[in-house]
Amino acid sequence: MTTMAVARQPRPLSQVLAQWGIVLGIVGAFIGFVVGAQIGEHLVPADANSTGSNAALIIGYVGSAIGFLAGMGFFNYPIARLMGRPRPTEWDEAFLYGEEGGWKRYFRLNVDHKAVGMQYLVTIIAFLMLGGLGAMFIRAELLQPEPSFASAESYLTVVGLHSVIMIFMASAAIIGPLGNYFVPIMIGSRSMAFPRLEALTFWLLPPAALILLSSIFLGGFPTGWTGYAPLADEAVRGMDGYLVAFTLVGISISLSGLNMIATVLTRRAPGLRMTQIPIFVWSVFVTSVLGLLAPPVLLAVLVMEMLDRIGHATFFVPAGGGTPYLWENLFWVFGHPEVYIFILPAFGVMLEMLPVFARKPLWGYRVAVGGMVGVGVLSWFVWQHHLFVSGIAPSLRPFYMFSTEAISIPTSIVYLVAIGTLWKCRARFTVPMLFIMGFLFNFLIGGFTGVFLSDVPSDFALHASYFVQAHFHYTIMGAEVFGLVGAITFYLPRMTGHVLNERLGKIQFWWMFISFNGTFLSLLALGILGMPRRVVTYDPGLQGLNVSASLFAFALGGSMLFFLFILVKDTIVTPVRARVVNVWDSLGNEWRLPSPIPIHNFTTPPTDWALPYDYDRDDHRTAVPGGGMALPEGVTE
Amino acid sequence: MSASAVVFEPDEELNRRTLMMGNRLFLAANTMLMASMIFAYLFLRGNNYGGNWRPDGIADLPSVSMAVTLLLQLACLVAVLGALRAVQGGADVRALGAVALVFGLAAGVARVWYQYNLGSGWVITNGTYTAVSEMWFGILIVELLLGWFWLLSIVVTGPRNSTKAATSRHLRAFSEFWFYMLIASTFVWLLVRLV
Repeated sequence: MTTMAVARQPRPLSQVLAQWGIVLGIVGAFIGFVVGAQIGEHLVPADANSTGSNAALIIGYVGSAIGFLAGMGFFNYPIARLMGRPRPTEWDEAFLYGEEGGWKRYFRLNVDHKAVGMQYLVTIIAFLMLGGLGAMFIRAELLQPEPSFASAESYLTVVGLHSVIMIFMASAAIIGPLGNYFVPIMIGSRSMAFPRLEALTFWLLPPAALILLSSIFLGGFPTGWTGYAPLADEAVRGMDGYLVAFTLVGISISLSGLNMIATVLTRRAPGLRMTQIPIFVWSVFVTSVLGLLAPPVLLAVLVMEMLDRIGHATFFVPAGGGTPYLWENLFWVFGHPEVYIFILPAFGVMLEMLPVFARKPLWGYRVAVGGMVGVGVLSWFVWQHHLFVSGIAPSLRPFYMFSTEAISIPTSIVYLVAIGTLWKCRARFTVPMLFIMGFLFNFLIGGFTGVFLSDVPSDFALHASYFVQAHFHYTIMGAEVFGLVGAITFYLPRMTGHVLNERLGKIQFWWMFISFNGTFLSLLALGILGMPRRVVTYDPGLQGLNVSASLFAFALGGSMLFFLFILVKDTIVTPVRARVVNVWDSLGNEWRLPSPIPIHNFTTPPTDWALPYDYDRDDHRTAVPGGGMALPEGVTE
Repeated sequence: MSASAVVFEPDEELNRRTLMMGNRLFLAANTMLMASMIFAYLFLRGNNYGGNWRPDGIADLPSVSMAVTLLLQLACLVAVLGALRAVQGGADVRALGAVALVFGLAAGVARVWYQYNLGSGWVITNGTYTAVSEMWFGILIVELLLGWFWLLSIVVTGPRNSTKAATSRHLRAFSEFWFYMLIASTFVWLLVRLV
């Protein structure tokens, strides 16, 4: 391996065009939509559709996604290979990795894993805010027991959009930004195993989100994020947006899983064993196995639904020999591992940060790994608890009740590792540490409430109520989003060189923590009192708790806006540069590289990469690896 | 002005391991897709007993033309393995590669022809038996044709700019993929024909 100086030369036309990647992508999306719609029109004429669906629309959507990717330049490499063109030169590769710098490199095909991580980060924050707007709409509407400014249909559409946007983003909320950015570095690799595939997983998301949002103009979709048939069969054209968008997201999750697994298994630094990789990498690895294997099940059932809608197949129509249970089963075979795709990386990043602030080694590293693997394995055997109230054979209920209750064991093991690490520690209550504590508090409630839903008798009483909604939000928002905000605060100095204001961060934490619990404790109570979810009207006697939930929800929305304000202020408006690279005094390997981290991370493969949790040893500091790299400026030993 | 570009010497062993790993992970994901289809098939089968599953008027799946299709897939696989052996022995890949390409394309075309000539009653609106079977056959056609383009890039245009080691590892990965497709195609056909 050599480092060479590449003389700057006039850019070839391909690179000039590639710099306009996102613009070309948008143009390509329009062209793809028109072409796809024409093909769909010819395949299934519009008058052949009686359900309100339209082959032209679905194939147009698919065409727009393909056109977008073509405009971004994703097909250049495979086409060049097919045409037998020379392999990319070093100059081409340097351009692909964004070595010219500048913000423009984030708006085109860029295969540097750190750039992809940043792209994910900004996109996910933007769409979390957008999904949050939907939540504000819902809570504003529910201030009154009767519909005030939304019809039942538009209310359902907003509920659906809020839930699907949040599910899309939650799927990648931690793996997307932090997994892509840090996994290669944490294992001593110079890149991901398949860099182009990594970029593809990100660039599938914008068209998916836009296709989903376009469903607003086509009547929305009434099914929520679960897309249940036969309601989906009968829904208006907005349903097609859900189907295509979810297909794109499923492909993205699966490819991301493939890439992460291949990276961890083949790209570790020489001598770095699987028992020495950071706990966050383990969480990403287990999640990636779920991410690789679960979405193909979703893809199969989504294609069936599309065939029902545009081809008049009857997969889910009893009159034609189909059954809605087919959807429910296949969807939840995907859907329940999906829940752990959300939460496992949050556990991983929480356990990764915890020793830094507890100033103790991670208690029970192997136990935590075992717990995560146990959650991953058991997550395949619990899906029918979602069907307890929809008429599954009674003889199946005990098995799924016990398997669902059993999954709380490995989950608790992981939780206990966190508690064990905190035991007799000398904690530094920085902002990330506060979010860790918030995570643990919220997840405890989320976990306990889940046990009631795994139990058949109590699930019968609670399933259709706000109890389920509150439980789900306690686990996903209370744990994953708290973990994400804490992790952004923790890792931002490493990613951008900027630190967030500690005092404002603490205010934001307490604001978010109190309003979150105010919101969802109110909803838990409403659920116990029997308020049904997804319905715009409710018993007037429940208005007090609804007003409470709404007011706390508005405060929660305000806390997220405040976080956005801190983020923008301290990184863009009045950037605060970190005085040292390793601002948290972490032993993590990712903090041992210079700032900014070089494009390919290392000049030579590191040889002293090891488990970074020896906070109880005095001699834990080692030289920065990488073949003669200097210590980062400002780092004190 | 200059920009630094790190040039890594090719690590053939790492590239081989990465490609094989990626290929096998893809096949694992594909297996889940196939498992979903098996589940759907059997679930719908269980939901439609007696004459509901195959209503009158749906022809039996043709056997001879499917056997020919599977033989073409097998011939392509044998030619690919021969090409792999040739390239590992230092010989040129193109002769046997071309044979594999011809057989592969013929297999793809035969499958498309098969899809359009399943017999009377084979439309997806004619109950779930035809719908799930045709969808499954369609998935296999898409995968076969995409696989053929991969083979094209390996044996026709690839060698112009690839090392023998690169051609070898791609052929090996492709042979695993094609073997998988052969097994899947055979299994699906037998299931749909017999169950």
